[in-house]
Amino acid sequence: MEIKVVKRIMEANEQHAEVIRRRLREAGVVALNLISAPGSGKTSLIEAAIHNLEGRVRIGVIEGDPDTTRDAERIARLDVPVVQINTEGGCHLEATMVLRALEEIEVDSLQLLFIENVGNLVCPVVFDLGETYRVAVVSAAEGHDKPAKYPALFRTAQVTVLNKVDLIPYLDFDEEQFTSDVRRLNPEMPILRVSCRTGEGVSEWTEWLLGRL
Amino acid sequence: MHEFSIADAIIHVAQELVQQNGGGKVEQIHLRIGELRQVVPDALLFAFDILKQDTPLSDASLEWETVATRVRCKTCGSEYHPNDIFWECPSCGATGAEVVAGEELDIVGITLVEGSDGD
Repeated sequence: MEIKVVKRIMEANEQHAEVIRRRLREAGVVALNLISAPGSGKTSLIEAAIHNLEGRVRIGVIEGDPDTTRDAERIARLDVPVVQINTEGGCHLEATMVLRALEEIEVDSLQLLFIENVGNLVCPVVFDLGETYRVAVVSAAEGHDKPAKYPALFRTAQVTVLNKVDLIPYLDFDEEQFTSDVRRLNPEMPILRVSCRTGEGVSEWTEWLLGRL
Repeated sequence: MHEFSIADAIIHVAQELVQQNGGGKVEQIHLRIGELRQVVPDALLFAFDILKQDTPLSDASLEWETVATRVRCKTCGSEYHPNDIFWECPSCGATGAEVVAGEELDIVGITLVEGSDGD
């Protein structure tokens, strides 16, 4: 006997993402899902935003990592509410994990919530976290071919941050190719050139954030 | 390896469906998977075979049809199956089309072992 149905496999994740979206909307919070390879500087971008927006925007952070609370410790030093999710080997965040983390943060007191996904350019793309915007982060040292090799992230993001631009003179990074690939994948998406180390482009990053509030 | 999460979700949803339909032993779960979901078949089968152990689906297998990507050009409106990563429109050459099909991730049927239903 065959039971005929049409049932969405990811229904649970989609439902939880919807609960998160509604909760954030009610609280007037804009949430950003930062997706990148490991080591591209997601935490540094969040730190830079916290520094630049201090006293102007109330920020909270959810950190996702397979292990350790190192990123959460970095953020906690800046006196910002932070929750660490450890996926214990898991390669991406899911809406259920974020929903649980939200219970530990006073959402109503925030304006901006950063969700730092697990470093991975494939799996996080498949899971809606109820975010308002998706941020693709690439560091120059990873090479200019990442958008072409991992197109799904760049098709679904609303902004791309090219980080560590101060390293470009020392790398074989073809920025023209990078920019042209990103533009062809997602013609309207802004590309922000940033170096968290030198501070270059950090004000453009924070201006972009302020424009979302 | 998001296939583990997908396999886990398949097992949950399939068990629910079997219960709603009076129970029974599952022989096969039929899926519809869009190309854009980036599901690696071997990885999904591997994950499913591990996770199904000690569940009522321990003898079940997976079978699926792949749904090809279809997109609509935002500039000229034509619909097509993209031939490159940029989804360049064959009619007008624009990129940045929107998805029409290819994001499916559905259970479309469950075959129960004959005579195993709860009735």
